[in-house]
Amino acid sequence: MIVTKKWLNDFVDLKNITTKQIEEAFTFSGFEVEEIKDLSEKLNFVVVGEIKEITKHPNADKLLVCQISDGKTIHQIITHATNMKVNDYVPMALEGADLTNGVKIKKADMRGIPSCGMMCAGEELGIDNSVYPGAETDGIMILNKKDCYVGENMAEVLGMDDVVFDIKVLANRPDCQSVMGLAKELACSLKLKFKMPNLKYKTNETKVNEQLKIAIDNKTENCEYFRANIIENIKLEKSPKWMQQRLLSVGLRPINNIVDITNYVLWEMGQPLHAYDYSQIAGEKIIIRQASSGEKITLLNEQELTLSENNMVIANAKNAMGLAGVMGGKDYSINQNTQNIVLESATFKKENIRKTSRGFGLRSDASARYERGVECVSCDLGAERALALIDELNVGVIDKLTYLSNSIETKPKVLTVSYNRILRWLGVDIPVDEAINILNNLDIKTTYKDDNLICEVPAIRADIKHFADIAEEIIRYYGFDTMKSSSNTNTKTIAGGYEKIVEQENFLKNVMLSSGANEIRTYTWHSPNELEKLNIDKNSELYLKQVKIKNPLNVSVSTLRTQMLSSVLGAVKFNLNHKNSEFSLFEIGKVFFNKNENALPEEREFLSFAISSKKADFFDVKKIVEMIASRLDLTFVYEKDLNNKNELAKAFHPNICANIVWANKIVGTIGKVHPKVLKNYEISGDVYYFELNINDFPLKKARKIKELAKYPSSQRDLALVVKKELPVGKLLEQVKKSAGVLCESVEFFDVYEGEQLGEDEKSVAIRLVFRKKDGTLTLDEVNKQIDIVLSDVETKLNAKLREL
Amino acid sequence: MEAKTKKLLDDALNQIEKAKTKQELFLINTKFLGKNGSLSELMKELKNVPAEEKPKMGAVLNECRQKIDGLIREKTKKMEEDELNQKLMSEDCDVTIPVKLDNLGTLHPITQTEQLLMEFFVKRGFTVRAGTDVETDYYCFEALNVPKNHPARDMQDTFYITDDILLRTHTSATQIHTLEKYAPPIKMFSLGQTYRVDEIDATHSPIFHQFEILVVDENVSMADLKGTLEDFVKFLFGEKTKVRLRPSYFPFTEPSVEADASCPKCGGKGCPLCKDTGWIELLGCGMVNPVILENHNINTNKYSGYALGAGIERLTMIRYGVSDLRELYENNVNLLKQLK
Repeated sequence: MIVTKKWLNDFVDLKNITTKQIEEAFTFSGFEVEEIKDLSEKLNFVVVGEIKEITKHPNADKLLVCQISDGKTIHQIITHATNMKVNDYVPMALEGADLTNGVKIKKADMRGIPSCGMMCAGEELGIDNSVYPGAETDGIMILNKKDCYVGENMAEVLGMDDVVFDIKVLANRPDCQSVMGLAKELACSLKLKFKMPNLKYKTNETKVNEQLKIAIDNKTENCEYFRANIIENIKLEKSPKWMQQRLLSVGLRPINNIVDITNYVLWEMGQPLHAYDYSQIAGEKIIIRQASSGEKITLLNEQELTLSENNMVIANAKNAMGLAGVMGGKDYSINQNTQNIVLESATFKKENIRKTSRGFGLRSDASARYERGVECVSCDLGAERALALIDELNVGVIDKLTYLSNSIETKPKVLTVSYNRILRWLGVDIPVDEAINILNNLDIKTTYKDDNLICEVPAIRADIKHFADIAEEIIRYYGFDTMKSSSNTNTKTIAGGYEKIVEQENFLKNVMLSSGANEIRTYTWHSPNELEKLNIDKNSELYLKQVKIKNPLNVSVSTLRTQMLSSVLGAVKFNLNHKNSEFSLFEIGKVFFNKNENALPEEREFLSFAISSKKADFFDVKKIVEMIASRLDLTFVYEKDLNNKNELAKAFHPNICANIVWANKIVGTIGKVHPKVLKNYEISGDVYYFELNINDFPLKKARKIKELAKYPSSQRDLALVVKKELPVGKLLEQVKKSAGVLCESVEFFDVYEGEQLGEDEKSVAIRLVFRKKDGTLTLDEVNKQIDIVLSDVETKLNAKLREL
Repeated sequence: MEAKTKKLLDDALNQIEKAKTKQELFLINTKFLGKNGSLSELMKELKNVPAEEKPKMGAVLNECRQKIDGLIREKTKKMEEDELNQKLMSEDCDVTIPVKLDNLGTLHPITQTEQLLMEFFVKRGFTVRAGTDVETDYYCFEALNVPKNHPARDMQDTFYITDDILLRTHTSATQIHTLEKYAPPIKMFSLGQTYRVDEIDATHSPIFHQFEILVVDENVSMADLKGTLEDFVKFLFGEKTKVRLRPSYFPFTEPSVEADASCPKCGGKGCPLCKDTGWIELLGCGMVNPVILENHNINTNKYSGYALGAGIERLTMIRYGVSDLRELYENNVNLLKQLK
């Protein structure tokens, strides 16, 4: 909302108030000042001068030497211009002026003669004909002697001796989308008197035109209140200069006296108004109705719209004359031939206006206010202010009759609230008199009885509904800065903590620190075709259960991810493109699976890790998965995806990839990313990767320390020859099973393939450690157990002890 | 006999003097002092010495043994020391050669800010609760008193999955889940990913992070909220940091305020970070709107509460001196590695 200091001054006497004070008053009462612009800034040291003498420059043919009076002294100014004559009034920029076009005025010497200023063209003052007629003339701008006096500041002449404030009005205060609303707050903040503008006007007792009448027929619940006044014998002309200057200062274009008055009132009172040409109201009837489907209208801005039943129109007996609350129709607006007008002031439901304005992408100053909400009481106030201006400017004859769609409640609502409760809510002790004062200044007439504040809330303050709203009004003007803080002494002590998944994430992030990887954060969405790049089947769950956004920023970010790999590969690619090499990345993030149309999708937390390195292999990644397993005291099993149970496996090397299985469930995937997939991401070099669903993992438990061994251990190394295709894991599993309770650990330490072995054979070297809790092992005990191991692996896995 | 002893001693001293290795000294030791050494031989002759001279001769022989033994020990020790010194001197090390660190794992700057926030609030008795990214209209808006026609609910601001299911625009939805599940006293902290229809630029991202707190207890007041904010900004930006509250509006709090902190960079004098105002906008907060509490059957005559919510990216950018938000999501390891 743009307001100017001069306009605010109509409501509050700001004579002794600085711009800074106004800014602070607004800021600390909840109205953020987004911008302040001093319109006169570029007009300082520019005054009206009267040319007293013009002579030729003795040393230059094209220059003239002028003697110009500012009323007190004569300034000598040298110019190229020729369009002025003696006795003309001209804008004169003197030393110190810093003009809008960047020119800084200094005393200068021009061909041997001193010049101490400059006569200005309109352009040099940053103005055009709409601000001052004649501003666009070629050469010096000649001023109209009726408008100004010699020595007057040009800022005053142009009505630019003003400061413009751009103020952010929050959604709960539609009443402050007006100069008046903001002025009321400012008055309260500065503890100054607020005065209403003139609302008085003369009406015509006996009509000029006896037959002029209008009927209002409200056929839609989307119109809450509609009033109309007839003004006869209008004189269409330019509005007075002061009104034009006001409109220009807030960015509105002056058009004619009637349109200017409606715009002026819209800005000043926050009430949108519309003027219709009476002769265009067929049937002398104003009908407010929903449009019929397919109905057409051409608006003031020449836009032709096809309407639906959702749109509300103001119609005559035949056609729609305007889109209610948004914009008038082209054929029904006033023009040079208009004799009589109908002035509309109405309130519409904000939802409806909002829908229409958003639907057509059509916003006007009126719709902007209706969308936020205009109270019915504002209609009468706005209409009366407009009529007062019509009267003041002699625009026409105002008919005595006011036509109404219905009657409205204008009485304030009474709110009774406990003052003690308010003070407890705020945690401050404010003397009740001070609180009452604040409320009265805000137009909330308040009395106090038995701890109760009895507040009469004006109808325009629809935002005030209960005691907390009254508390806010009081603290807003008592001041949050004045309020002493307290240190939560009343709240009970509760032990802080974490919900399980948060604690798990925090723990795992710290575990991952020791992997040497850098944590990344990626966006949880991608293009609907991302899974194709990962080689994932279109009939897979990963594909079909993707969550789609109805209104994405663009299609490349329209689908929520069901896996983490694509995100991490994106980050790998970014780094490789930026000449980073030999790095590993990890992320803990969410993936989303659609359940069904009307249910929230399932969200799962995943930990992902990728290594991009020339030296890395599968086991560098497996080591990190095992590190996690070990920290959480879990046992993971690694299985090749032989039965196609893991859809993500398709993104990996067919042989260098495994399902990570925990508690008989696939909880993750590990492997070398498929070269085809890497090509799709334009990644060169290998990437090893894993991702793990961490939701179901139990939290790390407190460990019990095992008693340290008292008796010595006995250690045996075995080299077992097996078929190449037998997984080492299987062999170890069997050895563990057969080694019995005395066996403390079975460790793998080497695998060998070579000349001494058959072509389809490999030798696996393992170390078994035996120990008894209650005594020293005998050679026999160990030998017996080793024999069992050897015979078991031979019969079950066809493994033989390697002969050396 | 005395003469023999004298000669033996001279002999031994002479040989010890000449010895060059520990081995030689060992042999000298055996030769003179060993079981069958020359001194032992001489000892055997003692029995032929007249009885009155025996003590004296005994003493002489003993003295001779001690002398030889002492000298051998002394010289051996010196040799060992020389040997060790020689060995040590032969070993050298250029202590200025730099070492190469293995990759140090790092946490993302947003995570580091999140952990800092959790630390602050958990210490003060808050429980960290997780929320979902996808929410229903009810939890994100309706239950938070955001009216149906509020601009925030518009397709232009919120990503929708269906008419009723959406990507949450703020973490405040967790407030409602908490009020549904728990009775006062409540001290809830939550953080997570949030989504808004915004094009990516230096200060906006359609996916961003927020944190949120909710306190509900007897006699909780706006002044308590101010106290919490003062502690919080001091924790974040240092002891001298001040808080400034400006009235604002959120449908779920009443009164609502915007909290500014005195600029952590210039201390309030004015700099580019605070756009020369001396203050930075930090967060929005207020007293929980009584309508929301009453909707969850909490008696607002007895209980009251406050809530606070803020963006994590902005805090992170201030903490780490990042001026372009996009850098936080590029995941450039050169940036990430700096946050050891």
